[in-house]
Amino acid sequence: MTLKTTLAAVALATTAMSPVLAQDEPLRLLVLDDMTGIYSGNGGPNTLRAVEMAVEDFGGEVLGRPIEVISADHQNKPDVGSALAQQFIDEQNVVAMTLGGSSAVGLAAQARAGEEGVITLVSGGYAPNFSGDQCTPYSFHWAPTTRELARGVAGAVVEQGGDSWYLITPDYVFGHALAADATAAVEAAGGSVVGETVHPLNTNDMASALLSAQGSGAKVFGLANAGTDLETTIKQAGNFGLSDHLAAMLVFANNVQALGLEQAQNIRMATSFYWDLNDETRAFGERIMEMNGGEVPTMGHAGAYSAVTHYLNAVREAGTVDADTVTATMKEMPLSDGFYQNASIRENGRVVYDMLLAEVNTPDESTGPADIYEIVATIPGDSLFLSAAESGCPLTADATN
Amino acid sequence: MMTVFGIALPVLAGQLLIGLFNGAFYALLSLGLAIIFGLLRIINFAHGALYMLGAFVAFLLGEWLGLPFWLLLVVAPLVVAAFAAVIERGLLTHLQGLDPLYGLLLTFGVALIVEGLAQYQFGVAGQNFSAPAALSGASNLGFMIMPHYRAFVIVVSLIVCLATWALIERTKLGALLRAATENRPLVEAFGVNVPLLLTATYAFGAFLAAFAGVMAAPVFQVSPLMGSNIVIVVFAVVVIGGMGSIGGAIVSGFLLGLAEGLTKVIYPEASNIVVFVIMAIVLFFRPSGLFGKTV
Repeated sequence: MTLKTTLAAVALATTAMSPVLAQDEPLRLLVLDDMTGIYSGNGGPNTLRAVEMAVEDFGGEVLGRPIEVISADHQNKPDVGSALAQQFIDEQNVVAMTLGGSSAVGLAAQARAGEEGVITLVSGGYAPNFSGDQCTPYSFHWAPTTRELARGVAGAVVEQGGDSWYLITPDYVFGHALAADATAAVEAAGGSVVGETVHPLNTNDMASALLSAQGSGAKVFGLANAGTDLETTIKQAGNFGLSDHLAAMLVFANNVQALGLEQAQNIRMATSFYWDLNDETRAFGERIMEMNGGEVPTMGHAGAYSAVTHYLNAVREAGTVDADTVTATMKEMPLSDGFYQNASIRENGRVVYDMLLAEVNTPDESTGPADIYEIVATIPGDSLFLSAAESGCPLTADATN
Repeated sequence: MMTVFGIALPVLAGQLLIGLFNGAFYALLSLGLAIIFGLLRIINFAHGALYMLGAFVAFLLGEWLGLPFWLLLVVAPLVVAAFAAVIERGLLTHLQGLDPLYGLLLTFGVALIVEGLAQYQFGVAGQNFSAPAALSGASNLGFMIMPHYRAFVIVVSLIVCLATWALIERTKLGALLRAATENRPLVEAFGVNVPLLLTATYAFGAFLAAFAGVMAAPVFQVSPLMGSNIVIVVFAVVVIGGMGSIGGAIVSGFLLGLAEGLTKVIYPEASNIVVFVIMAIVLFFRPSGLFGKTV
């Protein structure tokens, strides 16, 4: 290149690099979720709505910058998810992202974001690794993990006499985690696991797993799957007359609505959120149901709203978007949304709250299409969740170990 | 108690019956595919979408008009067959005589559009569709509890498959269809309206797919993804049976259902891929499939 061209290029580059006033560039939040696949019901488009609601309720801008919400569909593929996370961080300067859908994808994206100093708010990933061995300095885990979900249900069921379990597990990280936690929880309560069927993800016929379960003689069939696999299992268990053996560990409001109360009645599960619990949850629930045509919000949707609200509050309080400062602020500030009881955030990013033991209403008990659960017990969170030192997170592991 | 592969015989028998049930769907769907390919030389990738449409049309007609299941078994497939006839007349006839790849691409596109629209309208979570009251309930066969509906499906699919096979291989109409594939100008010279015959064949293949869809609705989730999940396996079944062999499609369908059922109880993690493993093995030894005519 000639000298003139070089000088012109350098001049252009420097003017282009001259700081675009920080005030002008919007603060971008990414909603990275399964928008169209098997987990799009418990997260997906309603998570996007929840995040947009949170931004709107916050006022739409922070530190003089407008807030922009972008969404992307990772299709439950880890390579797609981590590529999307990287792309949005590089090209759009995303400062924080909510993660949902398959845990395998969420973990991949969280790893990418952690290396880039981007805060991850895991509202829809239920594997314990998010706040455990794959935690980052900027990761927050709003969704309960397989451990809390399993322990919440298993203890109650074993106490009622269901002491021999057969597990039906989907063959991927979340499924195996849930099965392992369920086994630990059942054995801790004095029961035993007599067998397990591991099935491929997205199996449309669970009959053979159900038959194997029945053949084992177990009193309880522990369902360690989620989404459409769970719905298929519950529906077909009904066909085979095996409904009263079922204990489900990860059930969402959208699964219950899809199955209908007729098929899902009396199933017990643990959840972190129910829309009809108190005034704040009702306000959120009614607003989102008006927007989406009556789809009851799940704990994933509520978690996303809560997480983004807390993040924005922390940014405003800290006066900066610097990830280290905001992370520290988030861990100090109390949650303000009123969705959770006794909530706090631990050093490893784990959000701790009381869990709810819910039982699905029978069609007679239900007063309307959104009245799906009865909350039968509250499980105190402090003793339920692992401490930061025990979680396996390398950043907070016990110094004496 | 006798055990085979370490599994008690009664349990195995139960699992094989389940396999037969899944095999019924594979058989019906691969039959439709084989007919369409054998007679129209079109690789119908829209077959899964037609299966899904059958289930959805039955669901919607049941919701809006309250039609009983027995009526839906006939009406819903007729609706889908009409839609398929439109596609054939409007789009596929123009591909006659071209490389089958074009037919594959076109039907694949149709499938994507149909499934995308369904997903947009209904979301991904399944819709609820109940079996008719007369077929609900189950009987204790001693070694397993067999839902009546599943037994119904196996019996009806067998009847429909055999009737279709008889229609094509043993009747004059079937002979006409087979002749039209082999030598179209000659058949046209005899005064037979070949284009109409081909449209009717495509519509019939679609009817079979939709019929399978209606029967699947009470058991599997009626979801826009149900077609794409099953169509790949069905293609493998058709290839194993031999492209273009009607009888081969039926037999392989049921056999592979049994094979899959066996895998689900011995090593369930592999149940998704066992059909493809078998396909690879069969193609290695008999490239034209088990019953296909060597080309």
